[in-house]
Amino acid sequence: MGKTIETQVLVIGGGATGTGIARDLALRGVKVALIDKSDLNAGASGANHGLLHSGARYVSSDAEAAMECRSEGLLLKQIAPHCIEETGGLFVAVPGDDEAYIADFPRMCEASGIPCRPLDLKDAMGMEPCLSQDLIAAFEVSDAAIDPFKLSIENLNDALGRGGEYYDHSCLEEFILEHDKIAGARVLNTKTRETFLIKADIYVSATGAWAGRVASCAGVNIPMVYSKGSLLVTGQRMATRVINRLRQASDGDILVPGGVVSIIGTTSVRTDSLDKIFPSVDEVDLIINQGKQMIPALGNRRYIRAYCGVRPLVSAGGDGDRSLSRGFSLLDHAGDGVDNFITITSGKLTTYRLMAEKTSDMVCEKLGISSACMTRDLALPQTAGGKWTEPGVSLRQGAFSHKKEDHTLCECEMVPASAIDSIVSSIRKNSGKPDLLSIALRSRLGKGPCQGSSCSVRVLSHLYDRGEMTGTEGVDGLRRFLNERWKGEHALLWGTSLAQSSLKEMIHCGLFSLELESGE
Amino acid sequence: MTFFILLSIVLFFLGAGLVYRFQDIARKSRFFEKDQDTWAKKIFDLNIKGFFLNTLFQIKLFKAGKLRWLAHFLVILGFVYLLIVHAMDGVTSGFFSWYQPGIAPFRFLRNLAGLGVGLGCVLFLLRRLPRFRTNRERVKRKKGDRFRGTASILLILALIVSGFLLEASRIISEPRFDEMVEEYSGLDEDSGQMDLEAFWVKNYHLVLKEDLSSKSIDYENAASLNQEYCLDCHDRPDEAFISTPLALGAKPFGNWLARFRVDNVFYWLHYVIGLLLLAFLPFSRMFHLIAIPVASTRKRIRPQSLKKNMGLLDLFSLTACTNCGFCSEVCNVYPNFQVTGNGEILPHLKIETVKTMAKKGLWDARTVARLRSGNDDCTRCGRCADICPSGIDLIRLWESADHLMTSLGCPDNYTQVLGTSFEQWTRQDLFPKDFGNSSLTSGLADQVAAFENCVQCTICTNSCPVVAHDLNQNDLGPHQVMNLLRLGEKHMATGSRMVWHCLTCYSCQELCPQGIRVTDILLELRTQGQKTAGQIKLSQLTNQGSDK
Amino acid sequence: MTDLNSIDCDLLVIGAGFAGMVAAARASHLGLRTVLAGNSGSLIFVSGLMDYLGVYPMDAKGVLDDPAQGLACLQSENSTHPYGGISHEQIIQCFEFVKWILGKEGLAYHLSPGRNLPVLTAMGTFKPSFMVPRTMEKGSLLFGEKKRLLLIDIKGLQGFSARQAAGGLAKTLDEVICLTVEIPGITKTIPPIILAELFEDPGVQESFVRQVLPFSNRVDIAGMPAVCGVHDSLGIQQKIEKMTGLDLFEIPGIPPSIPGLRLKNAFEKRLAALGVKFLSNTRIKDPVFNGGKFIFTGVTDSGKLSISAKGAVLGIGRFFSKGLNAGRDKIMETLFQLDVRQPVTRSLWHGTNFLTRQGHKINQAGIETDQRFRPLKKGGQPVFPGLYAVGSILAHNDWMRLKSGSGVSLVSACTAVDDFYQGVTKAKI
Repeated sequence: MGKTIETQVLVIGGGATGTGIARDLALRGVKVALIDKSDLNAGASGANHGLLHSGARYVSSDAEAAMECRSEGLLLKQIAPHCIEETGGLFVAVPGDDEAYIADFPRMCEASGIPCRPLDLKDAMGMEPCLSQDLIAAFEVSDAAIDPFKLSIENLNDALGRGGEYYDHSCLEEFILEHDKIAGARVLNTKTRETFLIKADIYVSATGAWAGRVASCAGVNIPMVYSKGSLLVTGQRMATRVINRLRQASDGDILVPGGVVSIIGTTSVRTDSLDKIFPSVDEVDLIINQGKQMIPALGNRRYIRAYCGVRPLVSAGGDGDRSLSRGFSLLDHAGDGVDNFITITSGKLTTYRLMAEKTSDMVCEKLGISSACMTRDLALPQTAGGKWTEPGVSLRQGAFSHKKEDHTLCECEMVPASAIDSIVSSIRKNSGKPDLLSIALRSRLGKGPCQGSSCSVRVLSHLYDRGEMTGTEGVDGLRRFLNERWKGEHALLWGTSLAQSSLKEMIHCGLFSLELESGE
Repeated sequence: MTFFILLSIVLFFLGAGLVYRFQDIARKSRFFEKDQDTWAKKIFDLNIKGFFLNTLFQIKLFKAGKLRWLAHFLVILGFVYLLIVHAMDGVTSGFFSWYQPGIAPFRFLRNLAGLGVGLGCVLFLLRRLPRFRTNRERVKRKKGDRFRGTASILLILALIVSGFLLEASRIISEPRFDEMVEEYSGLDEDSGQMDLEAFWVKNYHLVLKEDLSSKSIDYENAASLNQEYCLDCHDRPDEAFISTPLALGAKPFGNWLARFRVDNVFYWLHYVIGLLLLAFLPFSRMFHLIAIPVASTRKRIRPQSLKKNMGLLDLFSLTACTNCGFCSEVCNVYPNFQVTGNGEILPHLKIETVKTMAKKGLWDARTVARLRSGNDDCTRCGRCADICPSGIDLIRLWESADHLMTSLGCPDNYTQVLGTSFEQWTRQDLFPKDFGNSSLTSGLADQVAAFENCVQCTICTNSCPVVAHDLNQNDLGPHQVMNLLRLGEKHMATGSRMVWHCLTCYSCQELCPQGIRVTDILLELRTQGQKTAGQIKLSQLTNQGSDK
Repeated sequence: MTDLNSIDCDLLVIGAGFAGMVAAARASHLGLRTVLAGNSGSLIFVSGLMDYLGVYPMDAKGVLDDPAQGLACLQSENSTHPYGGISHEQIIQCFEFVKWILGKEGLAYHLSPGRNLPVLTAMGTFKPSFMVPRTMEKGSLLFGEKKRLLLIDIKGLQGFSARQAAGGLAKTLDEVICLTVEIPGITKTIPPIILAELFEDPGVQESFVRQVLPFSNRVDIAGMPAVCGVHDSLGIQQKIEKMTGLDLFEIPGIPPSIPGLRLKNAFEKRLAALGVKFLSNTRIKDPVFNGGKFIFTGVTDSGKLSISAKGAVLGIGRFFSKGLNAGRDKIMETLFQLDVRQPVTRSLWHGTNFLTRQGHKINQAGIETDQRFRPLKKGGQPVFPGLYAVGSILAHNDWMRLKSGSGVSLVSACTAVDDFYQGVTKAKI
């Protein structure tokens, strides 16, 4: 048994909500520790569109969620402008879409207080030339793009700066239950295989889809169903604005710009598994076939990557009275016989702050602390460690650096060595161990068309040169990294992407023979 | 006495004007560095042969255009004669004691010279008519400039015409005759003045108020009187082959002319015009009379040996430009003007702008930016300087203008590109992002299909001689330029050294395993980048201007 | 330049990759009038190592020490593999032919029949290969005798770190020392090909030697990235060996690969000497088979030409070289639209584990041929009598997993050309 860490609140899950709670509590002066079984945004927080909803998407299905999105969206634009690109958004319909829905849309938006401007079809196509020529309706709303990685990193960094602690690759092994309480959490570091104990007054599970599993450790049953959603990343940015299909939420109906690329999705597939999930070939084809109805170019563009996340949905069976909003589920397990355990799950990226606020309110109530939430007013600080996730940021730093003693390690996303160094030192500062995956999480490494073919090798040799790695750590990390990248590649390998992935296989299997000694 | 005062004033004007012009050029010109030590050296660095050939025989003009040369030669020859022999007759008679303006051959020569100058001027004017201009000459010129040129010609013509009118009116003028008789003979009514009058009416076309036909005239006495008092200075006027016919034509109005002393009016007119010409010489187009000889003494130099700024004498020679337009007619990059419509490509327009810029600096951002682009188009082939009738070293001027513009913050596109920061290249106001707009533009760099197959294998960069040559200075390799295109940063790609240093050797394109037209794209970016760099430059210059 | 020039030849080799180069060399060596068309740039992606068979079967635990063993096993259970009908002796002859051809241009290779050599890669892993450039040969000595090793990387050369290459060696060797050598005047990154060209400069060699010399007593052998000159690499290596008193070997890494570039240069020179007409960067289109002859159209940037040939060798590679093109639902061969053996749906193309030892099914896809490498129609008959498919485009050969890429390429190329040659000579008699 390793060390014991004492804290007031243990937050499990380093997604948007978890880091949001960590910051919220830290701001209220509460000592908080955050653990994640892999690293930041490993779950749905890292596998979504990066869309800051105007709310218009939910006006028909869930007016309350729509209004939450609207107010939270406006708020986030105020407090975290550096994580957000205010792109604006369009809702467009093509022949065959439900005309009654289209006709009703402006009224529903008005009812939820969401600004929505009808557009002349010609104007719409002028604003976004990629749109189909067959549009039958178009509206403008105030959607925006948000960088979920930057958001979580900045939330975490602010929490860390205020006394919070973060343990990555720290997996909850078990809760030590005493009477009606959790007395401690036994945690395993999956990298070092060390076990340690965290003792806290309150335990918060912000584990999204894993909420049921974590709760079961405390002997609590949360009935959950999982819905897998896949998304595709295009090689280039296709549009200036967010483009939504004007219909009841369905497959392949939102295109969101993410810096220099665009993201089209999603699908919705019921799944039982949480760990071994991949975007499937069928899903990829479904998204493309649906997406190209509103944006024809999606039919023949090169795609860089597919990825998927799991939407956690708490089964409606009987728990409705305990949820504060239909948008998300905040569960106080005192009623289940565990006094100091709270679960927050479901919800949307757009409302992460509200979820964190409500959760922290509940935590503080339990702790008997009366300080009020500050995240509504206090801007999210911008830190150096968070700047490398943004697509295109490296261009500003590196492209014209012929005078600087710096060089590009990742060609596709133009990540310079200095960026890698600063990320490595920020990981080190947090007593983590840098490897390709943890660096990739905090930068654009491997996220370009080559998906890590040669940047991985360049970064590794750079890390070895800097003495950050020794022995066979590099090649082991490379195998993990390549297999992680592969999850998002194998379903969309045709055309040029297949050519590029064959080059990758030629290098890593053909020459380096990584498959021969792989531990798997 | 009056003449003398007037002449003094005019000469003062002339002198002061010349001094003003020269020091104005030297003082205000941004070309000229005061502490240049080349001044003294340059004094001895004269082109004597050029001076003679070009000033006296206008050899360059002869090569450039025969008709213009003829016109110039007529005017210059006639004018020199008139100036020396006629206007400065006091001096002339000092050398040739037998000189008298009224005797042969001077009368004839004066008329001949006047005719020459007049003809020349008429030729000048004719050439200014639109129908006689070449296409290139029709290119817009500044109005003031054309006016100044025409005004000078008209003034000279007026001087000549007034001279002929003066002579003609004097031939028939009785009051003038009376004054002369009074001054030189002392004759009176009794001592044969009437005889002499009659003699002059008969032989010298004098017109009298009273009719002498009824009087008895002693012609022999008249002839001897004429012999005694007049013939030294006055031959029969018939050899004044222009003035005499004019006088004959005016005879019917002789009395009327005499009554108003029109001869005196013409005299003053002639004199005043002459003085005016002299006084305004430094400020009119005629200044080239002085500037060209100065310019012609300068040895032409080649860009290789060029110092940063121009010397004082070179500056004077700038004013020798007569805007004749020969330079533009032979200009190597005239087609660029036809395509772009930028008049600052044409030397004869460019030189005016350069002169203004030399004085006023960055007075108008747009014009300077246009001048920059025009001067950048220039290949320095030297044809303009070769043909320049004024002997201006235009190559040197263009090079100096280059330096001047750079020092004023308006560098050439290449320098501009290398000095432009990321922020400039991605300025949204200049280059709005047009995601997905690619179908609307036709260049390779705008078509996703042209570069999306790039797999970042870096073969292009590895095979690039520019990269190999400039390892520590080059910023992006070709593969990175392709990647910037994928990332939607076309303008930023345009700003990379790679694009501007590319030798178009096509190694990268030949070797590209994905068949991407790498070189073609680089070349296209550079071509389009000329315009883009211009936009950035203009915006910078405008800001600079508004800051002041 | 739009007028249709025409060329007449015996054999048109389409594709100037490794297989195409070997086929063209073999054909002209046999006296056939040969035309080669394609982009030889793809050779810069090959490692320069020539594998025979390194792993068999794919899920075997270890690697093959003797490729002949693997071949026997292969032939007993898998006759669809391109090696299916070819004897070990024939294969060795083909290797010897290539070795001889390249040796003529001073590119020396080393081959020991009956033995695979473990080649140290930049990643610190070992790859089993068969015929290796002489400049890499000594690396395989590492395993035999325990040695003290100096690993050299070069400042500015990305993707190669001596410490990384040394990663797994510390256990097996007595001593491993890592050294970073600086090239005078290089302050930033240097592309490998440019670095290799710099290595031909005696000044650079001397500076390299100066920096290595202090270690010459402490180690027996030194490894460095494969950048030891583009031309006469062995000569440069031997010169450095002489100056340092150390054995030296090169270590292959990520492309662009200098050993690949050396291959490209050697082949191009040899083919020119053999009288092969090389239509560089000419795209071959619109094949027509008429009266026992093929007529092709060759397209360049500047115009078109017509090529008539009695036979054609298709060595146009796979997806990377665009010999095969995969749409979202189907894989096509791009020139003749030959049948491509492939999995039924795209979902079967790739597995979910990138580094699986079983390989991805798409790597088995390709052109099916008879044992003379003639592509087959549905019924099992050759599509055209004079058409051959060689190299990586062949089906049933996951060369990346089997470590059999160059071997299959050169064997199929030689066998196909020999077969065509026999057909031609028979017809003459």
